[in-house]
Amino acid sequence: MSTASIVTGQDDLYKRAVEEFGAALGRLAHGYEADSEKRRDLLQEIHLALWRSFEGFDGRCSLRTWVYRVAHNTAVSWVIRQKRAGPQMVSIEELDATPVPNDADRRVALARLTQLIQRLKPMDRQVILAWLEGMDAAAIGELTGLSGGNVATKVHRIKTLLARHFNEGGRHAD
Amino acid sequence: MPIDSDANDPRNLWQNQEQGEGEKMTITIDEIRRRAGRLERRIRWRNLREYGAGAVVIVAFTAQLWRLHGWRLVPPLLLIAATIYVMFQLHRRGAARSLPADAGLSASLDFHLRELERQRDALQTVWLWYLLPFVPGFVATMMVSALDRGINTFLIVFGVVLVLLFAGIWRLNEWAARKLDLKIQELKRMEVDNQ
Repeated sequence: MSTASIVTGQDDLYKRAVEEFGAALGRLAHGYEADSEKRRDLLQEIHLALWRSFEGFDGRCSLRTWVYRVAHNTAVSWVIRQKRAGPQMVSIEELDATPVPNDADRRVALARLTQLIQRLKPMDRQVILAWLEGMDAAAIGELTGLSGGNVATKVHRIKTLLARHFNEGGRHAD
Repeated sequence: MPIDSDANDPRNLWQNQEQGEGEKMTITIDEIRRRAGRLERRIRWRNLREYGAGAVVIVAFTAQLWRLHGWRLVPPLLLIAATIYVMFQLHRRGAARSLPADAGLSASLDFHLRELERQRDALQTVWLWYLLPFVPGFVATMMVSALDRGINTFLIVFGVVLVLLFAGIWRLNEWAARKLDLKIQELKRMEVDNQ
């Protein structure tokens, strides 16, 4: 394959990835970085990593899996680099949901959900972000490298946690 | 305002969130190339700065070689050799590298584990490749000074400060490596659970 066709392929793949997953990448960056300025830097880093990665894309996995792997791996490196500044991260098992108040609107509910995600350790954060993006257990397993059983346990815990997070506020008010 | 119907559905809430300026990014291919070029230049510049600092040290010690004779040449020669060795190690370990090329091929667990192990190993061996090479040069410097001027307060303070500095750097790195090791063990437990 000529250099020109590799470059075109790289550019085309990047354009396609941004068209299909651009919004998801923005949300992913939101899940990893609370500070808006730093979030912009992280998102830029993800886009760059993605474009560069397509030089080596050989179709061994789906475009979605590739995009999410590059994005999550870039974000995990980011979290490792920033680790000293942030608060202590916890696992899904250790995390306690704060019920969203009954009178909360979408904005507040989303802010609470984002805060909850940003407290998680990187692996658990990947699982919850992938699940929120609509991925099934098999796809989450392919992305993270966790076994089906492991993913199922974590997803179950996430669902329970989020059910408490979103419904308890309502129940208290009944 | 009451909870919206889909505010109760976390997936819906997450996927339909309005994105702020920070999360919207439309970059043209030309802009991506420019930014990639800038990143490469930044990494090259960072590497150059590291080598530049080493070069300054080497030049400073080399300058001493012309005014020293006999065994007094040993300390600067040892310090020059140590600097070259440390620069080589910095280059080999790729301290200023960008994201690995296989980021799209590696599942996150594997990638995360490798990144943490790489950092932990670098921290754990700091004493070996960053501190130890300078010890012979500093010891030789102190011995030459003791032979020339005798053991005085300055030399003792210099020696104590040096020992404390080296011990401090070593302890700090050991502490950071131990913290990383806890995370590594946690990820390894996940790997075992996978089997």
